[in-house]
Amino acid sequence: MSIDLFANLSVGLSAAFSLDNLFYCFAGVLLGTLIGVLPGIGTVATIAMLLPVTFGLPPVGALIMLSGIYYGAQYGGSTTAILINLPGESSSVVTAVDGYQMARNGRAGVALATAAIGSFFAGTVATILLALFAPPLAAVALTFGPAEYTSLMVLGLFASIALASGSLLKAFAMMLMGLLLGLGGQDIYTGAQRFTLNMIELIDGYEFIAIVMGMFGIAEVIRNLEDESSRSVLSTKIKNLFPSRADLREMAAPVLRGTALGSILGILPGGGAMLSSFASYALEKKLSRKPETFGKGALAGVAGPESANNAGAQTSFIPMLTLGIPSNPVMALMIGALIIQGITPGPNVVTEQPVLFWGLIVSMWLGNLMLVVLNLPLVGIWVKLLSVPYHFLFPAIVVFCSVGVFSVNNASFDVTLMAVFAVIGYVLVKLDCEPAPLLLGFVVGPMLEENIRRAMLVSRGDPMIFIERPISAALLIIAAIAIAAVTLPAIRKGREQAFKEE
Amino acid sequence: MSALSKLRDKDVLSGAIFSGVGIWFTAQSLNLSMGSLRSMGPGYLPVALSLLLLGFGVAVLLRGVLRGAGGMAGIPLRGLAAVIGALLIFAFCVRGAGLGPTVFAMVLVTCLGSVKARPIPSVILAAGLAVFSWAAFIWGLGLPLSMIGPWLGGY
Repeated sequence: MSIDLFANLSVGLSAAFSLDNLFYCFAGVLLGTLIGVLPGIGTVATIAMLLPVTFGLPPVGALIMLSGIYYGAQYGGSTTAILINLPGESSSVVTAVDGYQMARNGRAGVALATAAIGSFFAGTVATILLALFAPPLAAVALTFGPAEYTSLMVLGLFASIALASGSLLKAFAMMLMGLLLGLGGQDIYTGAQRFTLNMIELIDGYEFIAIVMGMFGIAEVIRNLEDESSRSVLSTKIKNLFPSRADLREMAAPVLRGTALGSILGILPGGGAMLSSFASYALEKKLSRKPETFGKGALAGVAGPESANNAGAQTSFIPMLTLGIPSNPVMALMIGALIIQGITPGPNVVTEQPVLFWGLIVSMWLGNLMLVVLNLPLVGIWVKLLSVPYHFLFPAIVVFCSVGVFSVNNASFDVTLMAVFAVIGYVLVKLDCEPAPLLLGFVVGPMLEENIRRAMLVSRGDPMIFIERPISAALLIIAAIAIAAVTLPAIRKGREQAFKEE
Repeated sequence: MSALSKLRDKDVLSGAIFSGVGIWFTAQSLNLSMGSLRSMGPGYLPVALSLLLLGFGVAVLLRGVLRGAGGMAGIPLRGLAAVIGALLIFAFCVRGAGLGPTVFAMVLVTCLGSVKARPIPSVILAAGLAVFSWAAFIWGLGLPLSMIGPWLGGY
């Protein structure tokens, strides 16, 4: 086992340290931070916008660059949160609370350094976890039949609904809309056209990237145009970047706890970065000897959540790479990218694409290292970027999204589709419907249908197959518990509280 | 609460949208063959899922009517129209007019959506982004698009 691990890691090392891949990793981290630091652009939108850049690359390079973009964007988002109290995405909402207060107290440099150090440590630990646990999990998944897969996907979808904020009913409805949209296009078995409105452009189904960019990128732009009141950028020069010995001692425990919490929550479907950071903030506040400092610039309030969200971001790759099931919208995008590269996500990736799998793992650690090296010295540039006014920024976002969506299939139609989904996404968000379950449903839809059909063929039309097989039954029971749990009044209150903690 | 304010309720509106989409998907699925449970046709799951969606839609709608979730905030039509208009310009003109003029026009239209954008900076931004798009997408990434399209005498 351990010898295997080292052999595998050396495959990964030689892949990640090739000159090309080092460059892609660096470019990904740099571009991700660059776009992520711009206020009003979240992680999903950043990745979706930069996705077309990776189309021309070989699969390994493309995935390395995309994951670089992912943690780059996340770190960029934290920078924005700390310096202008405008979290670009949900996972840095809690960072904004104490980080911004630290910045106002003249400790912006320390807050940024704490975020970087915490993220790096968490990233390192989570990468090791990924290397240790992903291959055995994939081996288990290889024994799964269609019934087990179906139940696994049901569990994934239900868990992501249970962990979403807001109304359960609406989350269910959004998931169903996603599943249905995902089934659009030609049926793989019979060739029948579904939901294509007799349009040739829709025969291959609705373009995923167009939907993501419409609902996350463009809808976000429209939302930002609602209120253009100016933001206050902290104009103070950032000095004393390096935390003192006392600061280091103060952040050690929160970083450790955040890493542990994030690593566990990241594996859960629907978990990932956002839930991890919220949970960590709540935990630190509870454990702190001076909880009254929280909200007024507590170092632990930055160190814990920042470590947790990075750990969660890394470990959410585990279900994506081993089961082919996305646990959050970012992973849904990664699966989209794999499919575009001609790779079917699933348990076979570990054995059939060892260079891709292990190269990605090693490059994750490298990417985290690059983040620290890149961000601390370049922080001055990021601060400058923050002062670009939004009315110069959003036309550029609209242009990049259009060109990006167009370039997926060289189809103008996809840009129209993006416009349609931008309106839909915007209206739904105004009605308190979260778009994430729709995206997950969209990606899972075709896989779910295929496995249900196969399971029914195997069992000759007997739906008891899902309950008679022990693994499948267990997965369904967990799914039922997840939904039942959040509808219980006591837990529901806690859930509402956890999401309100701002 | 008056009947009119119910129409703006978030749950009522979203429930209505879900139900409508559910009905649309059901209608679209009905002409597909259902098959049997043992051998599912292309219509089996779509019909099941869209009826389920209709059910959830009605549930959300009823909850809105009975309990109310608060009215929806107004939609800023100016920003929405400008951004969507710009996207449609791209979709319908990029082949014919080419990337340069299309980007220039769409940036100007997008800027109309902001109350803060001023004419001269917007024109400079539009020109700058048109040039940048050429450099990044045609020259850099090699997208199969022309800078000046056939409508304007390009290739």
